[in-house]
Amino acid sequence: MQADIQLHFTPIQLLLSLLLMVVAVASLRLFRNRLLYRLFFVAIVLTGILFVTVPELPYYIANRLGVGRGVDLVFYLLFTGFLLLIAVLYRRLLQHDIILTQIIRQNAIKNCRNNHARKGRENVH
Amino acid sequence: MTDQIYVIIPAFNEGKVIRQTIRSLGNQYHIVLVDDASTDDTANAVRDLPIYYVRHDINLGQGAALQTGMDFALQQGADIVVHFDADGQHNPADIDRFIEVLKTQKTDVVLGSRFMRQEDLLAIPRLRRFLLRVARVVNGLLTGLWLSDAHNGFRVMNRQALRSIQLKENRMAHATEILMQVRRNRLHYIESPTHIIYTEYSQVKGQRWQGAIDILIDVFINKYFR
Repeated sequence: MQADIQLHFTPIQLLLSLLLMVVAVASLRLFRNRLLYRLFFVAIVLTGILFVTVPELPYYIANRLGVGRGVDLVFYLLFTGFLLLIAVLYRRLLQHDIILTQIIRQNAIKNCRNNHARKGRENVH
Repeated sequence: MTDQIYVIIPAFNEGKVIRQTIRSLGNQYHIVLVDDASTDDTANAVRDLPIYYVRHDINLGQGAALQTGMDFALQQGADIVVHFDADGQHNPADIDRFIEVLKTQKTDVVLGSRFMRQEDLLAIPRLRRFLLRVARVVNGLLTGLWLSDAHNGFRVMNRQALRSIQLKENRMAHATEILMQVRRNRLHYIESPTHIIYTEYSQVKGQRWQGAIDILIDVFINKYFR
């Protein structure tokens, strides 16, 4: 199947492309020292801009993949990405939980009140 | 040389009963009260009792409190550690008996069971008995340890077990996690009968059936997806 790909810019395409570029810059600033995250976000933004400016492209790819409409393809990709994001964030949250627990535990043990020492609140260490 | 015995009591808002629970233990053990960021007067209630008082700045859960107590006991040179509930539902007289079992049977962990004697079994409320039987099967399938009881908080362990067990389950799923680690670390374990006193207070404070489902999900997720 031959797709009829033409470059034309409507106001909404320009607006969306600009917004995506802002997202790209923001993500570059946000993910300091995380090259993989930066590359991943830039790749997503570039794909987004490509899809916005050449709407026939997702349609063409969707057809080749047997999905049907281009918008369905984008929806499936977004949905999968969303679930992936939740999993990554949850994992990160768990790691923070572990760190928090360690800090609270160390602090609790360090500040242990030894009531055996009769004179007031003396620490064990 | 006498053994250094540390009784670890995790507590969250047990100000009403904690003093009585600690006093029931007498003076023969080192008592470590791990206050899991209680918002009641737990701290004041035990101020003059001869114990170690360790306090979490933020509420982390019973599993985390037990691990804090175990870390502390290990640092202090404990030979034997006892897990004891703050709400007074465990029998202090069981401690010496369990320690005796630990030594004579040369085992690493002694786990309390409410299902080995008829009188202990009958003391468990009917719904809880049913839930525990289900939990026992789930525990068996997940850990490979087929015990007569599940989620019984009364345990005694030696220093080797204390060194090997490192709880990551901060909340209630730690009871199953302990069993998993007993198996993974090839610790020797034995069950011994224990009597649990179900007071109105301990039942209100205790786990509800919704909690059991939560625990199950925690255990499952952390076994396969962590």
